[in-house]
Amino acid sequence: MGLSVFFQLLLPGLTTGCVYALIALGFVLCYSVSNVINMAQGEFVMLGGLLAAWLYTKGVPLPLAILAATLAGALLGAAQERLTLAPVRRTAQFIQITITLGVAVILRGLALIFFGKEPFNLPGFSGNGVFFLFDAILPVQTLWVWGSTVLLLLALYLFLQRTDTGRAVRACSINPLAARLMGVNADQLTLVVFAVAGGIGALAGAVITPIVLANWDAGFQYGLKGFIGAIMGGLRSPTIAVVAGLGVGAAESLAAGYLSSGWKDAIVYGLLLAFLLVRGGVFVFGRAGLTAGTADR
Amino acid sequence: MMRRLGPTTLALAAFAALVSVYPLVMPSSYGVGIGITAGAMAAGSVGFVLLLGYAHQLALGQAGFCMIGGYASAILTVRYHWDPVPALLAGVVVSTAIAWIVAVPILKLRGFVLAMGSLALHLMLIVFAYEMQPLTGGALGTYGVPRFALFGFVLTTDLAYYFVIWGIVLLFVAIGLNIDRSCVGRALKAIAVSEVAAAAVGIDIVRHKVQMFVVAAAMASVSGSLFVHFLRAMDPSVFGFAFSLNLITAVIIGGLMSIWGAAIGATAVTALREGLRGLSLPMWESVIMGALTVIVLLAFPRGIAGFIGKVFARLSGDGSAPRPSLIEPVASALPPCADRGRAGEALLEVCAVSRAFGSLKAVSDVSFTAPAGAITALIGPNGAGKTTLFNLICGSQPVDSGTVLFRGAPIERLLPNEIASRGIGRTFQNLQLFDNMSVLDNVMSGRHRFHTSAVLPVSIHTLRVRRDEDEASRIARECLRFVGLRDAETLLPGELAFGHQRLVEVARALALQPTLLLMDEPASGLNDTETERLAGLIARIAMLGITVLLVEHDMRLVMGLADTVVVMHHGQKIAEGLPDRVRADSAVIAAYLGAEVDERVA
Repeated sequence: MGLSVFFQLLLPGLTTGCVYALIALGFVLCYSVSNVINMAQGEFVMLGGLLAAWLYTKGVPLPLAILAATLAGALLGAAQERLTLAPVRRTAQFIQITITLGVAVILRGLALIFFGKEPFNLPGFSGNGVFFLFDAILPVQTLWVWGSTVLLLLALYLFLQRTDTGRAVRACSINPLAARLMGVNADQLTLVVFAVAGGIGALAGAVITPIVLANWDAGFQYGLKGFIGAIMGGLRSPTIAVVAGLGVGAAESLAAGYLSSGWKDAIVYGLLLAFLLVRGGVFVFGRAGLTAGTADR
Repeated sequence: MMRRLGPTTLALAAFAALVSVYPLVMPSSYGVGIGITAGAMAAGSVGFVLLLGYAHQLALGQAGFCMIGGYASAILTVRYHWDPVPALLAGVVVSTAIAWIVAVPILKLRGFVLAMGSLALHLMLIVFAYEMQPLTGGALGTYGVPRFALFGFVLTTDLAYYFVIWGIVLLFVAIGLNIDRSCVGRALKAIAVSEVAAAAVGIDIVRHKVQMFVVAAAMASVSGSLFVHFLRAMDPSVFGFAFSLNLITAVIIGGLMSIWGAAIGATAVTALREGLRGLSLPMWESVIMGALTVIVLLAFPRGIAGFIGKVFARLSGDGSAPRPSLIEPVASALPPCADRGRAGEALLEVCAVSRAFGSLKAVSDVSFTAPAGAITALIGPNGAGKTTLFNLICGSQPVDSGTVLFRGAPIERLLPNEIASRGIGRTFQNLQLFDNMSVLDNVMSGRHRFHTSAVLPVSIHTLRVRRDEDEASRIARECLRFVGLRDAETLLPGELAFGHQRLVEVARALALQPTLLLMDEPASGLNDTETERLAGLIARIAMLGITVLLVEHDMRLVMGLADTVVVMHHGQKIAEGLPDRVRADSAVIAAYLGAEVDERVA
C-alpha cells in the first residue's frame, strides 16, 4: 500500500514536472544565446493553455486549437525578442532581464483582461479515461503529456545536434565571442531561440491543461519552478535542466501528499533556497567567473 | 563643491515644498491617505533603488521584507502590546538578519540568481503567513493595529502620520545620498562598469552587493510597518507579488540611478494606481505597470529624475567644459612610498608557477623575483604567456601549481581585491576606467582600501567618513598632478584622449599607495612621444620607492628603464638578468627572430 501511494504521488508529479522541464529548457536555450533570463518563460505556458482552451470553446477543433496556441506562443516569443530586447542588446544585462519581467507582467495583465479570472478547461485529447500504472490511477492525458515531452525533447536534441542552426546555438553557449567571429549571426539566433522557447512553452501549456486547468496567474509559478530546474544545470546544461525540472515536479507532488498541500510551495522554494545557499557556501572560487563575466563587455 | 551642493539644496527645497503643500491641495482624508500610501511606498523604494539601480540586483521578492516588517508591527503591537517604534525596529532587525543570511551565499553565485532566490523567499513567507494561523491570523490576518506613535505620543490624525512618514522618507533619502557620495557609492558604480577593474582597486564585489541587499531589506521592512499602521490590519495579501512589481516599476519610472527618483517614482505609481481605480480600470493596472517598465527602460533609461536633471543642467548651463591639458608632471606631488621594502628584499617571488588551458601550457614552471624598489620587466614575443603570468600574479586567474609570495606571504589563493588591498596596484592593457564617474572619482576609487566602507558610518556620513573623503580627493588630485594631467577632474574618462586616459589609470593605481605596481603593456596604443613620457613617469614612480613590474613587448621602453628583465617564450622563462646581458642572449634573439636563425647563429 505504501508503494502505491508513492506512485500515485510520483507519477502525477512527473507529469507537471514535464512542463517544468520544458520551461527549464527554454530558459537554458535563451540564456545560452543571449545571456538573458527570460522572465516571461512561464507566461507562455499560461497563454498556450488559455488560448487553446478558449479557441476550443469557440468551436475550433482541438488539434487546430493546439496548433494555433503553439504558433501564437512562438510568434509572441519572436515579437518579444524583436520589440523589447533587440533594441537594447548592448545595454547592461540586468536592464534586459528587467525588461523581460515587464513583458511577463504585461502578458499576465492581458490574459486577465481578455480571458477573465475563471480557469479554462480542455477535454483529454483522447477522452477523459484513466489507466493504471504501478497501482496508480492516472488520467489518459498523462500519456499525451509524457509522449509530447519525449517527442519535443527528441526534436530539440536533433535540432541542436544535427542542424546548422542548432550547432550555432551550441557554439554560442560555449563561447559567444568565438561563435560570432566564426560568422554565427547571434542576433538572428536569439530570435530563433526565443521563438522556439515560446512555442514549446505554449504547447506544454496546452497539453497540460486537461489535467490542471489553465489560469491567468499560473505563469509565474511555472516560470519559477522551471527556473529551479534551469539553475540546477547552471543555466547552461539542457540535460540537467530537464532532469531537475522533472525532479521539481516530483518533489512538489510528494511533499504535498506526504506533508501538506498548503506547505508544498514552501517546501519546493525552501529546497531552492537551500540549494542556492549550499552552492554559494561551497562555491568558494569566484575568480573564474570574474574574468569570464566581464570579458564580453 | 558648490556645484554639487546646488542641486541637492534645490531638491531638498522642492521636496519640503511639495510635501507641505500637498495636504493643502488634497485636504480630504482620501487625499491624505494617498499621501501616506505614496510616502510608505517611497520609503521602500529608496532602499530598492540602491539595490536595483546601484547594485544591479533585480530582487523579485522585495515585498517579502515589507511582509516581515508588517507582521512584526501587527503582531507585536496587537498581541504583545508593544509600542509601534520598537515593533518596527524589531521588524528591521529580523529583515536585515534574514537578508544577510540569504544574500551572502547567493550573491557569491553571481548572475541573476538573487532575483529568483528572493522571490522564493517571499513566496515561502506568504505560505508561512497563511499556515501559521495562531501567530499571523492566517488568511484573515491580524486586526486592530493601533495608530502609529512616537515616544508614547500617539499620532491621532492621519495628517500628523503623513508628515511623520515623509520625514522618514527624507531620512532615507539622506541615507541614500550619503551612500551615493561615499566610497561605497563609488564602489557600486565601479562594479557596474567593470568588476575586474573594481577588484583591482581593492573593492570587494560581493560585500557591497550584500550591503545594498541588507539596506534595501531594512527600508522595505520599515515601509511595511508604516503601511500596516495606516491600514490598521495585516494579512498575507497586502504585500503580494504585485507589490514587488510596483516597487520595481516605481524605481524604474523614477530613475534607476537617482535616490530622489525613488521617491518620485513611488509617488507616480501610487497616483497612477489611484487614477486607474478612479476610472474603474483596476484590471488594467498590471498591463500598464508592465508597459511602463518596458517603455521607460527602452526609451528613457534614466527615468523622471534623469529628465529633471537634464532640464536643470540646461537651465544652469555653464556650458564651458574644461579642456584637459598635459602639464609638466610634478614629481614632488606625491610623498615617497611609505611602505617600501628594504633595498634588496625580494618583494615579489614567483616560485615554479604553472597554468595550463587544456593541453596548452600557457605558463610552465616559471620562477623569478622582483626586488624591492626596482623596475622589473617581463618581456617576450606574442603568445609567450606574459599576460597569463600577469593574471596569475594579480589573482584574476588561479594557478595550477606553484606559489606567488608577496613580502614572504603566499597570495596565489587570494581574490584580486584582497591582493589589491595588500598594496599591489595594477593597470590594464585594455583600459578599464569607470565611464560612469568623473576622472577625479575614478582616481578616488583607488583609495577604497583606506576607507571605512561599513554601511552605518557611511549612511550617517560620520566625521571619519568626511575626513576620508577629503583626504581621498586631496590625494587623488596629487596623483593627477604627479602623472601630469590638468583640468580633467570633472570630465568623464570617455571625454579624454586615449593617452590621457592611460594616465588616469596610472593615477588611479597610484592612489592605492601601492608597494608594488603591476603594469600590463602600458605602452600599447601610445605614440613615440607618449611612450617617452610614460617612460619618464615610470622612472619617477620607481623613484618614490614603488616597486614596478612591467609586462611589455615594446623593447624601447623596457631596455632604457628596467633594472632586471625576465624573458618568456612558449610559457617558459628563457632568460633573466640585466637588460644589456639579456639583449645579447642568443636564446632571446632566437625567440624574437625565430628558431631557425637560432640554429644557424649558434
